[in-house]
Amino acid sequence: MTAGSDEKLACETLRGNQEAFEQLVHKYQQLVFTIAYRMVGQREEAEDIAQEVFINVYRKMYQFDTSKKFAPWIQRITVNTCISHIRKKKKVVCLNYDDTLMTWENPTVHVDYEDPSVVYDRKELREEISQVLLQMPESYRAMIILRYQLDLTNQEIADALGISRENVEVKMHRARKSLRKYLLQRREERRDKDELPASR
Amino acid sequence: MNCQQVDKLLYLYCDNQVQPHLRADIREHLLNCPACRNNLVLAEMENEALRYTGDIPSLSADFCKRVMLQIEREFGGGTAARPRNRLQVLKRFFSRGSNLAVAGGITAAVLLCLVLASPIQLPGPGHKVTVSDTKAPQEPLLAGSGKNKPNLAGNREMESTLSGSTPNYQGSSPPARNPSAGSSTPQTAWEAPRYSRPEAGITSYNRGTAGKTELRKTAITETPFIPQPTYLPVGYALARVENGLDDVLILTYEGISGSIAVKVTPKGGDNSSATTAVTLADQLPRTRATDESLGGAATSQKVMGLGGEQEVSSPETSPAFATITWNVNARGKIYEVQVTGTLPPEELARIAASCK
Repeated sequence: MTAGSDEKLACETLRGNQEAFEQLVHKYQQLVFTIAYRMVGQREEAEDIAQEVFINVYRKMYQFDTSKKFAPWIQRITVNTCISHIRKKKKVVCLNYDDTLMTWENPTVHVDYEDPSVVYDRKELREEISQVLLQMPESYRAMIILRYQLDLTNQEIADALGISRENVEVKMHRARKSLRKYLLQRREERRDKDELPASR
Repeated sequence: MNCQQVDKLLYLYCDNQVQPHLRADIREHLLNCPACRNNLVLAEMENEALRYTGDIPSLSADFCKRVMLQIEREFGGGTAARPRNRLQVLKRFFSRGSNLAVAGGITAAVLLCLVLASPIQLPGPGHKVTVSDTKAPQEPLLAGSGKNKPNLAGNREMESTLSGSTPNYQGSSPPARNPSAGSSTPQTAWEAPRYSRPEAGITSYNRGTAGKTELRKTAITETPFIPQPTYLPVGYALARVENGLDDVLILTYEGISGSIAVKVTPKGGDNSSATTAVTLADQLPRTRATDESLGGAATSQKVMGLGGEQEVSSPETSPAFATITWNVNARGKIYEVQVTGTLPPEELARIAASCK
């Protein structure tokens, strides 16, 4: 079978053509895995989630509107599957969005704007960011992953998450502010730890 | 543009998502503000780290094969992408406990709506009537005498929930097997109306007026609605049953001192109560009491009852005839029931109240 557009492949899958679905899996497996990995931070777990995503996609294929694009639909399923997986794992009740704002979006930390290269070492920064991301609320995490890991525009994120573009802009700003605040707090803590043994 | 405004747009500026005219303003501010410039550099460094994908491990080589195997295992042959039928969808829906609760709620709501929209009248607050005045009349009730006026001011109030087909009345005691029980009224006042239960059915009645009225048994094709009074003054008995046009049924009871007619009209037929009352009254045999009262003042009083107001009226032409009209919902149809007779209104109301 020749490779077609994603929407055509979805139609073929609906007609029972499993080869078409296999092509879709090949095409989207890395994207799905990337989102899952960034959301949970563990390879095996991310693979399990990615597998679950494709099963869900196959099961819900009849719900897919073939007049729309396939990519945002699968991204949305991936994000939702990840979030439900994380929540099941944590065994916590769904976080209220406002609660997450109270915790994450209070930019009262004083930022001393010194030389950026002193504040952030690139390699360290990457490691820190991947750790900080895992501690952020799922909604912020998903938005940052879609924006920077998948390089989607705000409109594409809006389509994938089913919210408005303006809402994405606002949430993205809050997510970035929270990330900055958390990074600086960690840096402060580490600096204090480093200074304590030296002073003894 | 100040620092606060720039701070709000800085991430969008980094991602090249800011509008061109704002972009120029931000750039101008950044040229003059080292703090915001440093902030921008930090944001760009974060962006670079956020975009980094070098640490993402590669997927297992057999990932795709595993997915397809699982699909094969779970969905079988391959056409299971769409649920095969509605039964499958329902099974999936009810497999979740929360969905079951939602379905139960919806069913309960639908049932409630059906009950509320149903034409069957259930006993409710609208059917609760206050019956006042248990004081017995000082004189024996004489049919057609016109002397007994209803006593509207009651000594005690008694609440009575009546069935849908029974009209309410005011001005005298409720009908009971033994009206004197529990009452301090003189026995004589209540001994006069004795209870005679009319025979059930309509098949063989042509009493008293044999030869004048033909029994139309064959005209009634389906079981008719016949509200028969369980209470009748002494000496009264069913004389004839007439089934007229438009399924109008007239039951005539005759006694020594006059006649009582119960007319049942399906709604939509002849339901003009006032004219019917006159017509019906004219059909009844005249009594001395009726003739004496000709030319008297017209009497009309309203009685609150089931399904609204019931009118007890005595037409001007023959004031001795009183008529009580009310509507009954029976067997899914609305019937207008009229009781007309040469009795005082309160006595007639008692007869009407006993109609079942």
